[in-house]
Amino acid sequence: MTRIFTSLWKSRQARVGMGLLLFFFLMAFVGPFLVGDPLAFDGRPLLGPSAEHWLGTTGQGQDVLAQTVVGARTTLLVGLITGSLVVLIGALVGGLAGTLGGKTDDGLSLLINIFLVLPGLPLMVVLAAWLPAGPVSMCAVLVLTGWAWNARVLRAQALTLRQRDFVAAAQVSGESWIRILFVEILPNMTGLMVSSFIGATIYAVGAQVGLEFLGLGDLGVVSWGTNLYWASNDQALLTGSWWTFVPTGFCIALLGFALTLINFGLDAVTNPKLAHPQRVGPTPFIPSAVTPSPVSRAAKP
Amino acid sequence: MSILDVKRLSVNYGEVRAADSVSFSLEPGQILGLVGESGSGKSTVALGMLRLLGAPAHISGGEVNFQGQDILRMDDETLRALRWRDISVVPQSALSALNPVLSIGEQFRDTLAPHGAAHLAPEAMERVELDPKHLDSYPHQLSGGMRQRVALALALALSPKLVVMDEPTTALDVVVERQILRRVMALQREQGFAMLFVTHDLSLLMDFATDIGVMYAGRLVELGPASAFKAGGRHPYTQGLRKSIPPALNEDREPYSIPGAPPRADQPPSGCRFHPRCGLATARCASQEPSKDHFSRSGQESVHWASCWELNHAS
Amino acid sequence: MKAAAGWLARRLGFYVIAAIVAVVLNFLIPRLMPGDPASVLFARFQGDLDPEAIEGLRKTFGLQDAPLHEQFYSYISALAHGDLGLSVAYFPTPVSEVLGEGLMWTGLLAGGAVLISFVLGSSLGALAAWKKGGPLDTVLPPLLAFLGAFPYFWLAMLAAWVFGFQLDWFPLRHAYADNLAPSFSWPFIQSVISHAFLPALTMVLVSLGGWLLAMRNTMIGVLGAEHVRYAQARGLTPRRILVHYAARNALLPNVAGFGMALGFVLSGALLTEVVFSYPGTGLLLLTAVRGQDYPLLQGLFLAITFAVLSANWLVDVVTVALDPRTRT
Repeated sequence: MTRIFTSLWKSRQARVGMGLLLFFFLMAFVGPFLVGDPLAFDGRPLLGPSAEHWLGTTGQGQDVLAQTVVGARTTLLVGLITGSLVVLIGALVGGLAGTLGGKTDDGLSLLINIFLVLPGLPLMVVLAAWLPAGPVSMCAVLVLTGWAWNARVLRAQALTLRQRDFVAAAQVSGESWIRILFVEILPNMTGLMVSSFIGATIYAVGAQVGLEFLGLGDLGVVSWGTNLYWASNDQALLTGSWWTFVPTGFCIALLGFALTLINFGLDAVTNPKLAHPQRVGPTPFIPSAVTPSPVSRAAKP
Repeated sequence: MSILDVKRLSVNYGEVRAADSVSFSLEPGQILGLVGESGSGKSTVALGMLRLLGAPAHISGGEVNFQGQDILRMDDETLRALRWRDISVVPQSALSALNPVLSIGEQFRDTLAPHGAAHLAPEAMERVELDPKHLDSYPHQLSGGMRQRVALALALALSPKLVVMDEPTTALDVVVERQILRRVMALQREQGFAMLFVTHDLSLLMDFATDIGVMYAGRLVELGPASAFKAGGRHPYTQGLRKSIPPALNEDREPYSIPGAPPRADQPPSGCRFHPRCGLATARCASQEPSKDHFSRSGQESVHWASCWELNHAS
Repeated sequence: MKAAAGWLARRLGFYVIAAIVAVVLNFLIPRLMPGDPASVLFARFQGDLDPEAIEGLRKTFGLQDAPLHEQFYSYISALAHGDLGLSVAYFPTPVSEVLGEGLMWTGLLAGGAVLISFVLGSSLGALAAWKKGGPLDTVLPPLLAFLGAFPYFWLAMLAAWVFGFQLDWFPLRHAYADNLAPSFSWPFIQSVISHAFLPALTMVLVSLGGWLLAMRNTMIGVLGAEHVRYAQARGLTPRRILVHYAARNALLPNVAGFGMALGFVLSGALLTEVVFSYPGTGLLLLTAVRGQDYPLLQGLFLAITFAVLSANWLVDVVTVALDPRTRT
């Protein structure tokens, strides 16, 4: 993990991404103590940005800045927890399929592919509609509809790892598959699991916001998704009150962008092919200024 | 006049010099074999002189005069006009060189149509003893030998003046290899093109090449007529190669291999690059690069030279 | 051709299994949820709906006090007759009828936008890889990655507010002007196009970056392949190499990816419809959620799933047409 972080720090994209991410962490976990109650009705509805309300007020007369800051906490928490669960399930299912191979792999692959091909949103909506609204239901819905992609990616990696010499050696020496999975395979997929986690978090934030926008979250909780739901519900578009939906949307995009940048950085570190691509066209003629002369080099004893 | 004159060609992969100051020339109808171990730079020279290597490779010095024009300093369009009409290439693996999603016929058409010669495809196939119906096939549907024949047919379709063969038969079994080479030689006699043939198999070259160049660690160390190599060659490395050709069944000698391993390309030995493995090496070999010794016998046009300080002892 | 037919048949088999899973999930979800769905439903609708509608609901969910396997049997036989029950929000219209029009508009809008985005994104990605480090390659990927980070529906809200509300260049909502009757006349088609423009634009903008990056990265790999160098050795024009030897080969894995991403992209498209009140399945989904129209919700899930599965199979057919290696 330290190694991954060190190499990440070398990528400018990843540094920008990590800086932005830190900003959102501060916003989510320190910010709520600095702003007022996001649910208090402390102004006239749909006031534009002013000194008193920096980002204006909502259709209910609540402070948009406070809602945006406090909303970060719920959204980020649900996103991170879902992201972790998705990677955990993906690593277990994918790792198991890749390690055991054979019939187990066939069955699990079929399951993974079915969940991949089923369209996510309608399934999420059906699930969320029947479950009681709340963060736990939200996580459950997001995990159930989002685990398959990671499982697929991690299975492919486990499958290639299984063919490596050190895993073959472990198999020959009669180690159990549980040991092989947890000692030989999973620790060698850390890089991929980190990028999968980031990808899953991006997915979780987006899907969660989308579901809440449809009105399928707990509308009493302040989150980025419910902010947008209320903005839309209060006819933000028809009243031209852009400040009720622009700040939250911008935060969502910036968070997603930050995570994407980190993943770009990871990709550049782990995928050398992209770093040194082939050039197309005739080989260039670059006369070298200094021709290494073997004569001048001292003879080695 | 030479059709191809390569002067002090150097090719780099980034900082690493894979071919260092290589010079040779080709007359029309001449068959020059370039031999060396893998990593010796023989393919780098053959593809580099045609500017066919992708990044991070670049040409770091030299001249490649083809019919009096320097390929290295040509603009892309002039070079493209030269390609295939005058110079063609037979790749090592036709499977990876042919586009898997286009039929053989489409790849012929792409190549020949710009020269107004698309109608020559069936004839070119027949010349390498392939049924023209395979023009409708895709590369993966043919056997390895058939694919190499397709590559050969493509290379000879426009009757070029120079054909560069980059280990064209290495991936094939010996029987198919001989069949194809016999065909190549017959066509060469018919069309009279000059040929640069890259291989790691010295015995193969001694059968059909007119001249042979030996490469070691990015340098050309000996160049001369094939007859001189049949006689044993001059450079200690050449002699080692000669001796490591597996003995025939009726011959009574032990198989030989040159001691040591080729040097890493990024850390070439000083002086003569072969000195760490050479039984004749002296202190001078380790410190100074040997100059070329010419031994063209009188009355013979072919050049023959080798770069070694100890040649008098070695011969 | 035989091998291709076999492969397509196997793929079809897979989609049939996926469809069966969807049908079973659709049956199980309401029944496995915490609490008793029947009492939840009836508590919600008692008094709001006439007894006939409640009877429809009861039938749709098979929530008679029958054992599970009998409920499943009646569910399947109703489904086999295309009977998805009656919609609550549009009572007493059958769900299947409500779905038909929605699917058509979604097919037009989302289908069109996804195709435009894929073709445009793949072309731009191929060009970016071809001129790696050029202006296209340095400007577009980060810009589109940034745009791709926005939720579809939020970008849609922004576009609606700027171009629809502030500038009044495009209509804000619906699929065609209210004063027009659907017909194959030019004014009607014009109205459909101007209504679809903004939602389609936001869908294209958000999804473009994904296709571009996928194509660019595959292209970079293909450009280093031996067959590209050999094509170059044969003196083919750069244009021919770009299109027939690099882009065409790089497109193959991305076409497969296109099928996989379809369901995901569609989710975003559905939310975009909501913002523009576009009368497709997305808006129906919202209506169903807000009106607690459970029969419509379940019907939507099945219909959209079947549509996505069919689209995936079409993609497989295209793959076979593009890649001769699958044909032998």
